[in-house]
Amino acid sequence: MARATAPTFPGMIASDAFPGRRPVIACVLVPHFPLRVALLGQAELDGLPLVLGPLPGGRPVVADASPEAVARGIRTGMTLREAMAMVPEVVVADPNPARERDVAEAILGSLSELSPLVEADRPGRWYVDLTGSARLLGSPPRAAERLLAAIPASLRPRAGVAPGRFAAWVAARKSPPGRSRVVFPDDVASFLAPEPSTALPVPADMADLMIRLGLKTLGQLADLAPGAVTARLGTAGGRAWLLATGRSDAADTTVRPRPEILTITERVDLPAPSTGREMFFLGVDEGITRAFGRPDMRDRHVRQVSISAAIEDGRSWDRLLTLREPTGYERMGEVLRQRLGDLALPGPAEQVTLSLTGIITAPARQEILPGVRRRRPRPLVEAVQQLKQRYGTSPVYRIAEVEPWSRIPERRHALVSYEP
Amino acid sequence: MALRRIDDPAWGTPAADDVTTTRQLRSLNVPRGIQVAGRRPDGHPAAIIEGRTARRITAVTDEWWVEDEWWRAPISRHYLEVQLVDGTIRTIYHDTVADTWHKQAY
Repeated sequence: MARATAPTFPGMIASDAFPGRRPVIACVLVPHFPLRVALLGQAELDGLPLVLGPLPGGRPVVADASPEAVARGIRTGMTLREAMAMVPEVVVADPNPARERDVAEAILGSLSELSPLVEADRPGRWYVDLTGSARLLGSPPRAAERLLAAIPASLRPRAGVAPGRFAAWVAARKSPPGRSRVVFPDDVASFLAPEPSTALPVPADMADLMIRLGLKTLGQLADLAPGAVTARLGTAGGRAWLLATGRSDAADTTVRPRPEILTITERVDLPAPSTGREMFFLGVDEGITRAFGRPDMRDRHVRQVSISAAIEDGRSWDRLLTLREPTGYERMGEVLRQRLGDLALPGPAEQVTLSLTGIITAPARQEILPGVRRRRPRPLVEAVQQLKQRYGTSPVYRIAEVEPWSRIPERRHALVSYEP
Repeated sequence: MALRRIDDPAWGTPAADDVTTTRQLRSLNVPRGIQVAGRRPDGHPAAIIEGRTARRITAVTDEWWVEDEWWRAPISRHYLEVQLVDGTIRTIYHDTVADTWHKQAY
């Protein structure tokens, strides 16, 4: 159970700690998020020197390393060969972006049950606005405990609570796994003073400049006159000074929840793991047909499509495609085939997931002249519509070739939804 | 307020506005389980039982083996093309991994 290292005194309540309408911002941190996600369900690997390998097709270098691996001398950017030579028992985890996205979404959902203002800042970092939630969630230390309880302990989450995002993030970073740290308004400046100036959210060249100027800690920066800092480092430097002194601006106290975006997701389990394009696009076509076959997707077009494939051995492949123009059911399959012309799956795909976002009403287009309109099998269209009305979904399928050369008969053909 | 943990089956439930469905792409010619009875002098089954009906095998007209995917979930099938007592031709196979019998057009 998380334990906050907050100052406590008899009768202290949240309103004492964060008086008036002072913002209360929590930062929930999962360092090495992709690595931690790779460990989910493989508890036996926890504690071993772990490194994250490259994405399929990437250079074979260490993308991230666990603290245990870093302690043995492994560094990010080192080649995997070097890492293995240095620590023979190192475990290389394959990145699984689709799983990471699912876990991040699930965490966002759990945190959103505690506060409506949750921002997914970057992988493994969430900000939660706890302002005014003392009655609901209790004091800041108690609220931090509840935030941590919403995340699996195996991800090693930690939390920080402070009057601003920056201080909350520093507090979370300094907390041990499963613990939280609360920085009360009066303590922010002294808490931040010993921190390195490289922790500031400033461009890398400005961080270098501050080091060259001898400003190694936030306390050294805070001791300067604000005018002098702004004159030398510009407005970004002025903001850095503000944060270093424990003050906050609007950007530091604003948590921007993700706008509600309707997403239609269709997952299609393939009959057998396959690396072939035919099987993959058969799954994509099925997802398209199912997604656009929904009653609320009638006459809708889509601006963005996310396609992912669950690969054997727990790996995944994914691609986000922003379409040049909103695309509807008729052209979606063709467009996706064009865009994925260079498709190279890293292994046999077991499941294809299609997510449609940016759903809009079909834009008006120049109609085709009468007489050159494509002829549709009218009776068939009406028959299918009647069946859909009656059964909810169309029970009409077409037979598609999948792997006609396969020695396993059930792999040769599949039934896919038919929408005339 | 109930919090969801990652091992909770409810995890992964999309937000209220989102819609996620999972479907199985349906294969054609999926093998169907049968039972066999007896043994012919050549070692092959003497009859196949489909439901409650047993039909005698009068001849084995062909046989072949399919071995595949030994690196994943091994597939090992001993196919037999058999002629039944009523003259119909069936293709059946013995799954030597699961020790089960199936019928399947090849």
